[in-house]
Amino acid sequence: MGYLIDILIGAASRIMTGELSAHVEAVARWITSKAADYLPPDDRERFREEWLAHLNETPGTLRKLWHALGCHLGAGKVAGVLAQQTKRRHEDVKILTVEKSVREAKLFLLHHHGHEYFRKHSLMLKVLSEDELKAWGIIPRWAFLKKEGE
Amino acid sequence: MDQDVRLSERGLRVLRFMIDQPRIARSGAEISKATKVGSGTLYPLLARLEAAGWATSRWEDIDPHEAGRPRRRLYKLTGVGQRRAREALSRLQLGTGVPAWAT
Repeated sequence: MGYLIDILIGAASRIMTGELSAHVEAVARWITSKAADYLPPDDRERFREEWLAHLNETPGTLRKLWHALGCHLGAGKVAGVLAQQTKRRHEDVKILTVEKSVREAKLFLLHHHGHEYFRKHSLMLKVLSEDELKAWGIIPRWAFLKKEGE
Repeated sequence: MDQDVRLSERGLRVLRFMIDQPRIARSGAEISKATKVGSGTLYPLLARLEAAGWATSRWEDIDPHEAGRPRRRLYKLTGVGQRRAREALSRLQLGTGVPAWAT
């Protein structure tokens, strides 16, 4: 009888440990996913996928939870770096006045050039003046946000 | 684009790992496992390195739906990053050669 009770207790504890582990993993996934919400909207999906991939590769329930908490704590710092970067980009933009009459101006999406972040946040502007002078430049997308919202 | 990055001891550990085989792009999980630097420190550091032009990143070349898992983001040092990392490591005598405590 004692032997049977031992077996039953062993089986029950295994089931409970397994279930607890599954729950903790789900919680870790949830915390990791939520951590990305602290980031600017444009960057959330990138970091969510990256951090979930890291979680996927992390062995052990407690380590997964540790990673999730790390993402949660680090998200604010990552957001700070991204905000600084955006601010610097804004400061980098110089507005020039060109005294030419423009015949044609076209905006292009950058599909194949440069870094992914650059493509996502920039547009190419091509200008042709009345006296056949061609010019092109890279314009940050945020420069058009106000216009789009109006 | 090349800017200074404030580096802690853990930051230097990450740089030393990345500069060991600079052509190989590494995921955050790989870097974390090899350097024992946790996610809370690693990802802000990688973001700083990327913002400063020391590192670059790209997605792993897989289809996440086919693979049944999210894509890894892979990081490697840029030319500038390699140079700046070597300078930082040599300043602290933690270069890629003989460890400081063995000299």
